[in-house]
Amino acid sequence: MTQSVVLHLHENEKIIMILRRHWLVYLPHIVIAFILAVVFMAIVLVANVSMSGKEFSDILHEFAAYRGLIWGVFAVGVIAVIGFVLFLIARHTIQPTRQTARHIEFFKRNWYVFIVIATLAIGFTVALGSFLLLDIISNRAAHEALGGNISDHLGRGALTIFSGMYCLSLVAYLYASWLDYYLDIFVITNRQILDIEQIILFGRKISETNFQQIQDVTSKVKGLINTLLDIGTVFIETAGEKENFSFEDVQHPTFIASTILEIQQQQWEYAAGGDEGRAEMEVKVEESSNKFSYNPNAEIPEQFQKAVGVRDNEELPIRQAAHFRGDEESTHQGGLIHLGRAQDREPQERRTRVQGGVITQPYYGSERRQHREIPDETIPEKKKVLYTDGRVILDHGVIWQSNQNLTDDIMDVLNQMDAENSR
Amino acid sequence: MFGSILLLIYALFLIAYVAVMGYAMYRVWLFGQYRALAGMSILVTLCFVIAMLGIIAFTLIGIGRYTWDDSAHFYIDKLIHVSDQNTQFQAKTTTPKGGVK
Repeated sequence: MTQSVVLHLHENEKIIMILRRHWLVYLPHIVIAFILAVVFMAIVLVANVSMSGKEFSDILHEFAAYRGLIWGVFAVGVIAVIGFVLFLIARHTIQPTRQTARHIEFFKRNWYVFIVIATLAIGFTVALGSFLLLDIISNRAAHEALGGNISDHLGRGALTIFSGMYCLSLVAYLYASWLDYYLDIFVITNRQILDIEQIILFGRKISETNFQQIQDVTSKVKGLINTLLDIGTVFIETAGEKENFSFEDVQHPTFIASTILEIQQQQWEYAAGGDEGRAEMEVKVEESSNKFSYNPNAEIPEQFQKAVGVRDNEELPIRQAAHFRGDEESTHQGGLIHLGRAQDREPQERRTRVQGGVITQPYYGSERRQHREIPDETIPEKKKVLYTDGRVILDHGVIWQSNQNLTDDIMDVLNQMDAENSR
Repeated sequence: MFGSILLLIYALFLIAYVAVMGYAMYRVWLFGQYRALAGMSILVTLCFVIAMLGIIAFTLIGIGRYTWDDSAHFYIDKLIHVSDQNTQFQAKTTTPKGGVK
């Protein structure tokens, strides 16, 4: 049997963060299950009392005799009301979330869901009531004519079967909603960002984007409880036709947004030849939680340094050709790099000019300015492939952007295409 | 007849339930092979499995406590037996002592 691929990491790819939604998202499901269980228990209690072989009037008298039972039902009702109020609070305070949005739709918009549930509830009640009625009527007949307890057994057996089915359905609901909550995972690696979304039991949607395509990252915290617990949403706007990302109900959204920007900045600086800025961050990965530590003064591990950078430093003429002089431009062999001077984390434009066009991408620069003089003789003449961390730009403007490893064969083919187009 | 229908409904429900939930849990187990992403998914799934098996076992034990033989044959046998008893009782009580001359 084939195994579905959820996460495929590249050779030098490391997971930096694994984020899950806050557990409060699951609270409404627990409250719903609790209410359903309480209602069911009340029905079973009434059914058990009524199946004691008495008539309705006797049952009422008997029921009145059960003062403790009445108080118990009253207590259960009070607990149900408290649970429902808790649910309403949770529903209104955890915003904006996809999970709670579903609940809002569930309770406000999708009225047909109510009809289905009401039909099931009424059907369940009618079925149970029929068996109880059958039990009471035929019990009398059985005792008078048959002298047996067939219907008594039938009624209690039916109650057992319905109870089993109801409880199993309740557990299935809890499990499906737990999967929907827990298997929604956001993964940030040093190369890409993945959004793994579990859809109820079987559906799964995986979206990914790399840091070069990120245009804007914002975080949003709304509501009293969310503010107290620092729960919010991180929005990631991507370039082109790719779907935008949103990490919903994650803890510390502002920190996550700033970390994503840091990683993106490091990638740009490293790919463009900077040495100072990339040795600033150390991110320790802790599995299956959003707990992580961040030490801005620690030196970056060598393994992470390699992972953040590009694969083969020897084949990076774009790095060697880079001259960073604030707003000055630097050209070499048809390639032009313009890095805007960074000011207060405002995204600057980064333009990479190739034959046939200019590629414009955002650049979140730092205040550091770097200057590097590269002798011209160090630049190989035959290498016309410009390569920046997964992106290959030929002189005539062909762009290779793929998650596939850039092997020598692919490089040869691209160089051959470049040579043929240059003739 | 009602008992047979009920048991049939429960059997079908149980088969469908075990098939659907089993496949869902198999997919979670596959997901759990990615150690970095698995988290508590396997552990919580095992807890749900135990809860489901407990409910099923409890229900089956409960079902076994009751008499489900409500077939037509059972009813007819009972009715004939009762009617025979009534007939014999009536014959005994209505027939004068010493017989009819």
